[in-house]
Amino acid sequence: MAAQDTEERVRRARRGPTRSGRRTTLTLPADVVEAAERLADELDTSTNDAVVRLARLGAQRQEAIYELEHRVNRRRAALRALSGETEGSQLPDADEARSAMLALRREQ
Amino acid sequence: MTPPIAWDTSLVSRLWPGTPALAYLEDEALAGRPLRIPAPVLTEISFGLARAAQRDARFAAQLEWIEDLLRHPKVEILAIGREAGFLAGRLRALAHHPPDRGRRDARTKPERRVSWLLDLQIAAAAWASGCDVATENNGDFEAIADLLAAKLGLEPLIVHRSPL
Repeated sequence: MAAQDTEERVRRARRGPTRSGRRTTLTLPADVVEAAERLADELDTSTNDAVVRLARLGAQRQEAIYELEHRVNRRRAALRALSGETEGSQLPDADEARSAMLALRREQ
Repeated sequence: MTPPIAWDTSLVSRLWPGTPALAYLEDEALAGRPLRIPAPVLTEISFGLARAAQRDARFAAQLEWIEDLLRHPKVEILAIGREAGFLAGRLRALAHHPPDRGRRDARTKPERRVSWLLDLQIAAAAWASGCDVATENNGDFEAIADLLAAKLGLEPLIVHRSPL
């Protein structure tokens, strides 16, 4: 218990960099606090600074996910746009279509 | 539980408006059993139709029709993921060519090789997805199933005759 108190005092005594931005009060889940304190110890910085660093990493990762989703959607839409110009066109008969689809097969 | 069954190209190629194959697919979907198609089947059919469309626009329309059909949420596409990718490579190393059954084969050697690789990928995607495979090309797929079980010691791939 005493050791924990000491660790906590050491953490509080550490100073992180001064940042401009919106001040807020958060309720952090235990796992986030644990991760932040571990990072704070590694970087010899304050727990608050570690929380900000973790949040920034998460924000960058989320932004990468959005970018990837956007790229995937753009590519898929472009692929689908290759279709759409044959509406109302006649189809080949079933045997012709099957033969074309089995172009690489020997049993066609 | 009966394992789900993936369709090979020989069955998917029977999908056309009003055919028994389409009716079967619709009945299965209504019964809550999605059609499962290994991704290399899409490569094979779209190649054949896109190539034919270069000389005849009707095949472009057929390609669009089947792309629309197979994009339906009830159609599940089995990807060549990590394990299927590894498996297809191992199978190819064991058998560079399909079994020779002495029949006349009009395809060029590169076409035969591409076709065999696609068969291996189809089988690997089905196997890695926990599916059996249904085909009209039983000989080649049974040869692949033998490779899986006899040479690699893996759980066998069950090959079904066409349900159509």
